[in-house]
Amino acid sequence: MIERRAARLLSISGFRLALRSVGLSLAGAVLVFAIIYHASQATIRAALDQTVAGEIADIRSDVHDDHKPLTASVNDAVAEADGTFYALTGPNGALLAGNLTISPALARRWHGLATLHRHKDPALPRHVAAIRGRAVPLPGGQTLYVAENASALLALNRLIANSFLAVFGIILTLGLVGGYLAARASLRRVEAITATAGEIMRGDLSRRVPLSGRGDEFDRLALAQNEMLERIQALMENLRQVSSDIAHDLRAPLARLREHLELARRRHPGPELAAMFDEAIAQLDAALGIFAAVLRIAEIEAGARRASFAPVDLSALLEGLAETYEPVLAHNSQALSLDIAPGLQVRGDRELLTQMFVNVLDNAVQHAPGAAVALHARARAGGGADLILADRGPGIPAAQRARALQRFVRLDSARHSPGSGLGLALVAAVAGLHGGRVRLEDNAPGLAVHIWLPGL
Amino acid sequence: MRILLIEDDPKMAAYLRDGLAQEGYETDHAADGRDGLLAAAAGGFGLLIIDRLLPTLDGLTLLRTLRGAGVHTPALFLTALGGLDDRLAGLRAGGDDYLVKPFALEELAARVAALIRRNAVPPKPTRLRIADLELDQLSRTAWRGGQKLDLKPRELELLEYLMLHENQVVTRTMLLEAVWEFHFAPQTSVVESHISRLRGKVDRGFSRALIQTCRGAGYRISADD
Repeated sequence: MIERRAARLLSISGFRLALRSVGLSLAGAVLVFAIIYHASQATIRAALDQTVAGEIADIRSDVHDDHKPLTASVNDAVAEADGTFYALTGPNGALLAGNLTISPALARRWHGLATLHRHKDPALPRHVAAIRGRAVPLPGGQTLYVAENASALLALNRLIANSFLAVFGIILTLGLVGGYLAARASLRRVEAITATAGEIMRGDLSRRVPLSGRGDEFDRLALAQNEMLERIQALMENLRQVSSDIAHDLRAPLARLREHLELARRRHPGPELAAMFDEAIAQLDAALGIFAAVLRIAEIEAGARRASFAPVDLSALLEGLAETYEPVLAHNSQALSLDIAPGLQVRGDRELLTQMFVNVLDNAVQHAPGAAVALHARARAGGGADLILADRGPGIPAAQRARALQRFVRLDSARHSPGSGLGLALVAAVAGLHGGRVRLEDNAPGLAVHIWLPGL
Repeated sequence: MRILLIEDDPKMAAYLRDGLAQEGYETDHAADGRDGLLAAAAGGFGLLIIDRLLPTLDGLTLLRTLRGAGVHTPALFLTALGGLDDRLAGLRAGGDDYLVKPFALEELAARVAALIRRNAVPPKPTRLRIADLELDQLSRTAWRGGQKLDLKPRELELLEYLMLHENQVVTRTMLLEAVWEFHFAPQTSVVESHISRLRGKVDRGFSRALIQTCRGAGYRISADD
């Protein structure tokens, strides 16, 4: 759960942007602190080094100019010392004068300028954390050590390190919290838009994306979307209006024509005329049927039926249809084999799903007379149902299969059999309404209509 | 039996009155919704035939108002509105049947007969009987000449529907709607195939065929020839 949340947060562009700016701020902080560190270190070191150099010069001038013995000069310096350490060692390393114990290990490491830490050299005086000074080799194997208390150097290091950690932590925390809040806010807005889009796709065209009123980029996006939705709704209403206008206005004269033909047939009961009237009425009914099918497909594609979707027991529906079509197929010398998994459920429109399967079955009856038909229905891994109606008829050439799902497409081979060319188009429309898909496949030989429907 | 026809198109109204007169029905005609409502509320009709798109008061509101006022005369919507939700809206408003224009007169006549009879005849006994054919609605069993018939559930439903409409023509569309709940027309001979099966089980081997085909209209079950 938490991992999924984190993954979702990371996938939000706002949060990634926040993370990037936190990274940049942290890099900036590192740079600034590095500069401060080096500048302060250099300054303190220079001051310490200058003091040490002065002390050494004083001792040298005592020895050279005043011809004082070196030990005495060192002892004098020690006496005046305040935070300065001196040592004079003989060739064997023994301390000849001074206030600093030089262990052999220390002597080995200390050449020229050096900073020495008490945690590495426990022989250093108790009250200092570090010293910095110079070892001066003298003629006769003696060595003069002069060093200043460098505790301040360490204290400053610690101060800088602590400040850096504090600043680093604050930037990181503020950045992450800010990024999280910004991401959550934008996620909420995006989810509001997504939810609205979902409801619209389920058929409620009157839904609009809510505005926050802050006039931010999301509001601008939402405004643009709402305007687009307004336009789509107007177009859909227009389409529906036109459809029902057509239904009423254009079908009315055709209906009247049919009435006239029926009346005429009743009034002129000659057998020859009756046959002509019957043929004319049948032609008219075919035209009206195509008309009704086109309107039906348009209605399905408009998606308003999604609003009334309910769970449908697909297994029971298919069993019932198989029972219904078994005599039709038998009459057409077609054997039917069934393999319907129990308990298949989908969310949808029972009436339209029934019509979809009826159209697929009708297709097999009309285009594969005498050929065996198999109906398979099984649960699909990851939800939903896979339905295959396969026949052993002539099939559809690969190049024409996709076209066969379009409206008014009647393949050459079907030109002389009954049908409007709308049956499979309606199948595709119903599957699409349910979020499913239809594919026509080769059954080698024959046609396999493969319908996938998503689960509950 | 008087029928009230509420239809604003005069040509359609004339055609319907003519057709219904041939079937032996008397019709009154109201040309808009308000007149229709008043006439229907006055009572005395065995059936209302209502167009949905009417001036002054639409058909749905009209029937809803009537039903709200306690008028339970059977009502058939006869309308050009054939959308997916339209039929349901008609039935929800209190309609007993829904027929989309254009239609065959035979279809209308069969539905009118079924509606009028449904209202006139007292509730059926649970055992239907036509000549030597019997069907028990509770145990879902049928016999011919005392011999139990081996019928599938759907075949029994089909036979039951035919027997409930004894001596009446029932159309393919009526059967598709009632037995299969198909509110569309399959492109293949679903009804014909099932009737043929049913005949094989009910009539084969008997001198008198009870299930009759009415050419161009539908089927009828009857003990008469």
